[in-house]
Amino acid sequence: MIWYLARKYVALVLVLAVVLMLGPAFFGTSPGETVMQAFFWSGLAAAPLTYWEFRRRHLWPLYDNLRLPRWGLLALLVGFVESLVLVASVMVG
Amino acid sequence: MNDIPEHALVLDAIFYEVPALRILQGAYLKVEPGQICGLFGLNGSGKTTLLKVAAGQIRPASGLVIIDGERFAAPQRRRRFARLAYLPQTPMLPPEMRVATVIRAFPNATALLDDDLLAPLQAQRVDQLSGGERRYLELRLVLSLGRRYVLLDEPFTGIAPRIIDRMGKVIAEAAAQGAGILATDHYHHYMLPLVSDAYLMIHKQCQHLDGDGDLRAQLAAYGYMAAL
Repeated sequence: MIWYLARKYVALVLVLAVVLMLGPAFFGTSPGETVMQAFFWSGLAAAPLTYWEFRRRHLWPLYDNLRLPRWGLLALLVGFVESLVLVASVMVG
Repeated sequence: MNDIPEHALVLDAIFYEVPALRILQGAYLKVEPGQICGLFGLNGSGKTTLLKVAAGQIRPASGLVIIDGERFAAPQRRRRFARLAYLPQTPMLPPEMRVATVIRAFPNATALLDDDLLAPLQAQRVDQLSGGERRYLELRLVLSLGRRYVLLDEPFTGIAPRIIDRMGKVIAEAAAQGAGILATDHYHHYMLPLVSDAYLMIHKQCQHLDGDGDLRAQLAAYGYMAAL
């Protein structure tokens, strides 16, 4: 179930990041210049959106039954994605 | 305040309201281990709300959920679910997940892979199951957790009698093994033979019925169902 949540969260992060890159690209900014900011902000925004999506689909009681903490798991996922963004931005320079 | 037993799930003086509507006004209910307690009531009487409060899915305006003497004023779901399992009214399984994957996600449920109803369905996705198959799977998964108290919100509604009979046996087995079960359902002809104690939601409170008496007659006397 953790993988299921992670997959949904990461998919949302990717969609949001693409949207956040496409906006500035429409006004002539290269997507390469905004990719890190896009992933940073989409990583943060995807957590509450994933929470609401799971709430809308009535999936949280399943996680409660398995004693998997909702916000704890989402916080871990956010931390993981933001760490990747940080590492990637350091490597890129 | 009523006496709080050491080993019981107690909902004590629960108040819950949404804007412009009071749903619960001081509801009290008690379930002991090994007991199947029926919670009856008309549509909109607050049965599901009360179970959601017990499961920490919503916060009451006031009141306590007490599980084996431990008081829960906040959701504290991880601690609460150490002794509680909850089957909500709405489907809780991810629809795109395969049955075998769902079963393996539960720590003590691998025996369900050999269940004669579920075994042929293992490769199917949850959204390919019939309503009865899905509900039976959810019930078996929730009971497989082996928690001390189990909340069942309309487990039988919309399900074929053949599967309800199986579900009833599984619920009775869980109670015989010591689980305290609080179940609500409108299918009283399936519920009444199962329950050893019962409450009726009326006037936004829980009216305790005499479990040793004729529950059907008592429910009829309160206007929940037609008299015989």
